[in-house]
Amino acid sequence: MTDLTTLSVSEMASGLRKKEFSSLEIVRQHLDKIGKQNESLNAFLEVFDDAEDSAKRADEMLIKDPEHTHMLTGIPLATKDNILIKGKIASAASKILQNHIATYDATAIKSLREHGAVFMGRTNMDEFAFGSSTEKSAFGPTHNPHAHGYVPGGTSGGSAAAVAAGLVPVALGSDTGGSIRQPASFCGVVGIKPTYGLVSRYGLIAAGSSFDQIGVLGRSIDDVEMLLASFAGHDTKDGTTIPNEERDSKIPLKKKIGVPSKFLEKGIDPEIMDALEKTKQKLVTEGYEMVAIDMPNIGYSLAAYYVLIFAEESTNLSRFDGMRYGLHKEGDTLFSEYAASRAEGFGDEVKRRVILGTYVLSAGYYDAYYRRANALRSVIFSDFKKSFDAVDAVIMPTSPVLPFKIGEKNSGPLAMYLADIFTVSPNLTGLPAISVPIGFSKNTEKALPIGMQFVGPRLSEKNLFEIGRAAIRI
Amino acid sequence: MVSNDDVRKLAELSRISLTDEEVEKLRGEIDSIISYIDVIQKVQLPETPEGTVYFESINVMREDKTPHEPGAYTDAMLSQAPRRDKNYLKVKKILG
Repeated sequence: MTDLTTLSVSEMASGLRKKEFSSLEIVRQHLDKIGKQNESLNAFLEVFDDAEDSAKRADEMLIKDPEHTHMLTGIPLATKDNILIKGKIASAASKILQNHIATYDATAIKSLREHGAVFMGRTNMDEFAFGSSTEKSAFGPTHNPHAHGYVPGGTSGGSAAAVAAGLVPVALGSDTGGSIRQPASFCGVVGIKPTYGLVSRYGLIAAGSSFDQIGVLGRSIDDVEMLLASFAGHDTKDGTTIPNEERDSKIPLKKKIGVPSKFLEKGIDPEIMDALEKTKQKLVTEGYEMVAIDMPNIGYSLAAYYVLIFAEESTNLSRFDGMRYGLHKEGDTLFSEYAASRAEGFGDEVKRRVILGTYVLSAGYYDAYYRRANALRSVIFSDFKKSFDAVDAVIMPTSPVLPFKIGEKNSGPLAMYLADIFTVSPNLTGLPAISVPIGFSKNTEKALPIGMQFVGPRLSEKNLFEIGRAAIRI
Repeated sequence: MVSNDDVRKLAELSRISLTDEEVEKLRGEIDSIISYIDVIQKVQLPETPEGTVYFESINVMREDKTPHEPGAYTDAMLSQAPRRDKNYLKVKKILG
């Protein structure tokens, strides 16, 4: 029997229709691989016991009514632990939601269910999607499949590791400040954060509501593009989704890429700088022109991002009170029950951010932090907007650092925050961004993946996929 | 610079109980993070706000009518409650 775990989604879909193999065979091979590798990777927090049943149903659909099947019918995929699947635990890798069973499907899940996709399990992440390495999970870190003992990136580290290791061909993640792109980069896979409003956030456990987007990780751009299109769309349950009639704007490709040279001057690993230069050269041979651009305010994006994200995270997490759902601790008074439930249920990074959010939103500091950071948000947006008059996309490394060892950045929280320098600006501005795998480091103990990022104008996903294809074409 | 008492006050507002050890550790961490994000105080912001990241977002309204049968989701929602009494959440007494 051929190894079905190395196939792309389109190869699986085509094989299913030619009856070369069944969905049950695909799913069983992936379950076997998960069984062998998950203990050392810790990519999945739970493997669903009904995956084979879903595969059998998909096989029936493919036999009985093949014309009404979707390319995803019978295709296994993984979902991040903060996306709700009715009847399954959704814990956001937090102790406070350890036993929380989702009472409804997220809109993205509902679409995938209708397409007949097979949910294999829920993947590990940083608790509540606060972090950049998947080390902040309440259920232990995930290992990088390319280098055991190294982080897979985060916060969608479990999804990235599962895809890279061949445990699933594609996975869902969520991206608030780089949480799809950075793990995609660290694990050598493709990851996209769509335009804010492309995908419904209904059923995604909120981290920063004005930043969060569900997106996709996969081993090929074609797979990622197809999966994203399968669940993107307007949703009456999320008032920030973009109306469908505004979505088919075709942005002409100028074949010009913006290079924010000043922003890329320092603080980047030399091997990543080399990869950036090689990618630029590669794009030139593909007929693209590199254009130096000035983005005077982008250097402020990380600080502005953290002010706003602390504020939104602390506000969103106020709903965890131990009364309506989740962990509950007994106390003498209502207040002590709140405080004890949250102290017991939240990990250190979550407590830190909730308290920092309370600080920046305090009466005396609101103007200095929240209001200023919000103003900066539109200034940075305007930097991008001006650039897009001349270029299709802006190129930046996805991460300034290579994948690091588990525990290596635990000296203080700031060190970890600084690694998000290149990924936060698309979230601040609502713009789409893709990370594509460029190659591996050469001067390190183990060969570590390097990813390159392209940020485009609103709803320019098609162009980003096109540019990504050119950048990695062999 | 934040003091330990500041951290305790913030934790109280955040409804999180902290040990003395946690307070001390957080004080240092909050200081270093605040001194980093303070870089935003330096930037010169324009008088009039520029384009917004929310694009032309507008308020989304729905008809002012009952969206579903009363009680349709009650059981599902209450199934996750740590303490329940019939269709009520049970909490500590809040009035003396």
